[in-house]
Amino acid sequence: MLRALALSDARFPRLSLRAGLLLILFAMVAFMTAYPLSLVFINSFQVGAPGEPVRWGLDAWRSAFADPTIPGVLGNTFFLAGVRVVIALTLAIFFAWVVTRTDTPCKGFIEFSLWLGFFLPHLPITIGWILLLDPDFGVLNQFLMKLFGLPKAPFNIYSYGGIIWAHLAFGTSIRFLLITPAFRSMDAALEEAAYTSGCNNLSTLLRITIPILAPAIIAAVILGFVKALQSLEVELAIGFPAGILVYSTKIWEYLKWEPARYGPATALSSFFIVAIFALVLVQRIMLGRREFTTITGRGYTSRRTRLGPWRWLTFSLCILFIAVMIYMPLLFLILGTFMRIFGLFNIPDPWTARHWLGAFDDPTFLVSLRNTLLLGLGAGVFGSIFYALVSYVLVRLRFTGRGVLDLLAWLPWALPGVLTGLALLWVFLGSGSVLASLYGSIYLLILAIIISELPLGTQILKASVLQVHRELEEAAWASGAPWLYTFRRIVVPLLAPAMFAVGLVTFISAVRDIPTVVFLATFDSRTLSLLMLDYIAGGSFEKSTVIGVLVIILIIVAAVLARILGLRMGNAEQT
Amino acid sequence: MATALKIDALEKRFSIKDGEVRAIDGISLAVEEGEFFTFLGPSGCGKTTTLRCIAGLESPDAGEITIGDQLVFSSARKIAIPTHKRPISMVFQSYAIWPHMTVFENAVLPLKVDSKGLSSRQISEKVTEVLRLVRMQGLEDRPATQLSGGQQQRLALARAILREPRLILLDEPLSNLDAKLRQQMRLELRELMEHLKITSIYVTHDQSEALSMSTRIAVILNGKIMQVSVPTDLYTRPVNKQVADFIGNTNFLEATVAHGTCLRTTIGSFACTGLADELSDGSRAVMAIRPENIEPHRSAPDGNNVVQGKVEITSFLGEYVDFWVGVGGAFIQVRSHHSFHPVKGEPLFLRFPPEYCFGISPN
Repeated sequence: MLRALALSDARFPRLSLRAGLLLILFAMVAFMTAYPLSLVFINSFQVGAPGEPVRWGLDAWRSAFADPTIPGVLGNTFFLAGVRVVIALTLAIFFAWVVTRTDTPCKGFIEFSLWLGFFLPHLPITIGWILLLDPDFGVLNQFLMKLFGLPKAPFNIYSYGGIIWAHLAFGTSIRFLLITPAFRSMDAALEEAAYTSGCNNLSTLLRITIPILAPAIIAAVILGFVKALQSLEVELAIGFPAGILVYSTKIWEYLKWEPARYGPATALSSFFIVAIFALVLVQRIMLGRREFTTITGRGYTSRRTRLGPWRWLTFSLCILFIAVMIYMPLLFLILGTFMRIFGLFNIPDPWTARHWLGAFDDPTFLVSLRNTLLLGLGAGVFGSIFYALVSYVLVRLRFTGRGVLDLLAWLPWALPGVLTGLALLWVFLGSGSVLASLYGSIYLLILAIIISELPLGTQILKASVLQVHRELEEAAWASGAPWLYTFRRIVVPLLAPAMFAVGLVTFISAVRDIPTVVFLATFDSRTLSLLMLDYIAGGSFEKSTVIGVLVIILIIVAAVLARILGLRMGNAEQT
Repeated sequence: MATALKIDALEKRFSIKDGEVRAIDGISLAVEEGEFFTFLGPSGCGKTTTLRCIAGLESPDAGEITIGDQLVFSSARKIAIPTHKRPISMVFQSYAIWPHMTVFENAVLPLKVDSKGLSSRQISEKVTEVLRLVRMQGLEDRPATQLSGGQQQRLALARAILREPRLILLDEPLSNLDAKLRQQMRLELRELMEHLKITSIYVTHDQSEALSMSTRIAVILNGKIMQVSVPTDLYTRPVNKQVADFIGNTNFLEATVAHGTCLRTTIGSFACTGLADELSDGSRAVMAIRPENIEPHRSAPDGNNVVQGKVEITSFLGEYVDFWVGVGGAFIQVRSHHSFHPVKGEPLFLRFPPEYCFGISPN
């Protein structure tokens, strides 16, 4: 134990080189995280737009808060996020309990489906829901109207309820993934002590299991709430038409003005940065410095609660949720790609393969496909290398300021994608001509994605570096190998599977991302996801469905690959 | 004979939540070439930390370390040679075998890093020869993940030998093996190091290992060296109560030095053959005698140093039998050959042969 505390001096090639390399890494991370953030905050007090001469003033704040819609926006944002978190959390706890501690059949399939739900991109799934629940042509509405002879469609997706509904699958999945490791690693002996003291299953769950897991649950709640605040696509597709605005769509709206209203957008962003930081501070205080991806030691016993015939009930509930929330919109999305006119079943000849055939001839589509693949591969490859370096430094080296680097690497998690995009706008447009020329290029998008996935990537790789036992490196040094040789021949080969998995996760984020890149991309550097958004905004639903399915296929392939590599999100049980 | 290792006034402190811990609290020693020198002590005493300082894997706060004629660490002169440049090699407690390499690749790495002018064919022959020495011949191409614990340990040894260091450092290499294997490996390891004439520094908390394998033992407690002796002296002449207590079992009786080498205790006066140097007439002392040296008799024997008591507890352990005899207010542990059958409650005479009684200072 004392040895671990010392965490000795690394065998870096002598002192000055080590200091230099550390400094470069530190500067890079600070440039990617703290610098954009502070720029946003500072520039909210500046009245010029990015690239224009600087003028200080409070106009931005004034106009932002003079806007009469703002209170409504704030209210919507927190209300929607709050409701979603509560519902998703309850469901997630239920699923986590079912999967880790009961003998419900088909647990593997249930877990896999929820895992998939995390990766599925929001916009295509939302399109699927629109196809089902649109008040004018939604398939489910039509069906129910015919069946019960209703005069009006019973469901309207363009509503508060619709937004909450569309988020449910993802929200539950992400909380499930955050909570499950804690459930898994809870020593069964604690529950067994409850049983031998006379508690039944439900009583144990409420009195013992949940309270013990409270820290993990609270962390998941706060983290999830922060993530809920950042969503953009669903609110754009469903909320906008209904006039329900949240702060991310409000910022989007500000920037869609001609000329774009940077001032109020930035002021609003600053407000949210403060709010989010307050939340996250609360979370970190509550949890101390405990990491979320912890290595679970082996040697605990995992007991399955025998549910008897009740297990069929839990099974049915799980399957019902998964079928409705994850597979149904997927199915209808695919269906929608074959419809001549989106949503109209009553026209003669409603089915066609035209959209698919047409897609690959469309040059716009091909350019976007190229951009997406470039973005995905670029972010995946360079991202995973960068994360590996940062993780190694954070785990193995001891230096003053390590805590600061750790915090910086974590910052992007607290920043919603739209803010990262906006912050990078300020960095690149407002920092001189060299950087400004990068605006609109794919490199800027790659950088944005690498920044946004920095927390997750380093989290996963830190756990992997920990698993490459220090003694394996020390044995090489004691055999005469200098640091770089050891890193090359011992550390990297052992990290390779994890790096590949992280690369895939980053690839997936790049492919499906909208909020981070939406302000940074131009016509030429549009990805498939952004193209899809443009098509929806322009009313071409048919084309957007095809793109949606393609994006999902890309993501599913990458996600399954990552899972085969043994990547389990949210924990490091990588044996 | 040349000095293989010299340590001067070594210190190492760790900060913990409520202050600091002195893991190494002023250790100095010298090891001659060819010795099998053991650091012996309980967990947390600082022996592994000292070993790692010698290897350069930890940085001491003060002191000097010299390996052969090379000064590898000096806090005063701000010298700290990195691990890979020190003429050492190390066998880790966890073996640290690289999982992504074969047996051959693991063993050959020291020679890949520094071929010492040998051709690759010569290197290959050397590796084969050393693998044969550790009884791993024929396993060159086996992936490291398919080795048993004992095989991994021998591979770690082979790798350390191949570096041809001045000093080989062994950090409790046998502690992860089962008892039978451990006994066997003890002898093998000792024979091998003698045959190769490599100076070895061995760390263990197991006294049987230390006593059976070492040329000299340094007992380390709380970061300080208590005693450095050859095994027989360590066992028969422990320098204080802590060392006597740590090595084997001992009975301790509070005593005062009467005259010469006589100790007066609460249960009688005993003639001894040895007293610790700092004791003189009238000083407070502790009389120590090991359970296996006490002679139990059913009828009063001749001679001095005899007491009488009653058997309170007995414990049969196969090779020997342990029993505790209440004498006056004291509880004396006696160890006998299994043929002696003590009965609970029976009266017994105990003779403490003077040649096995000795007095040590009371702390």
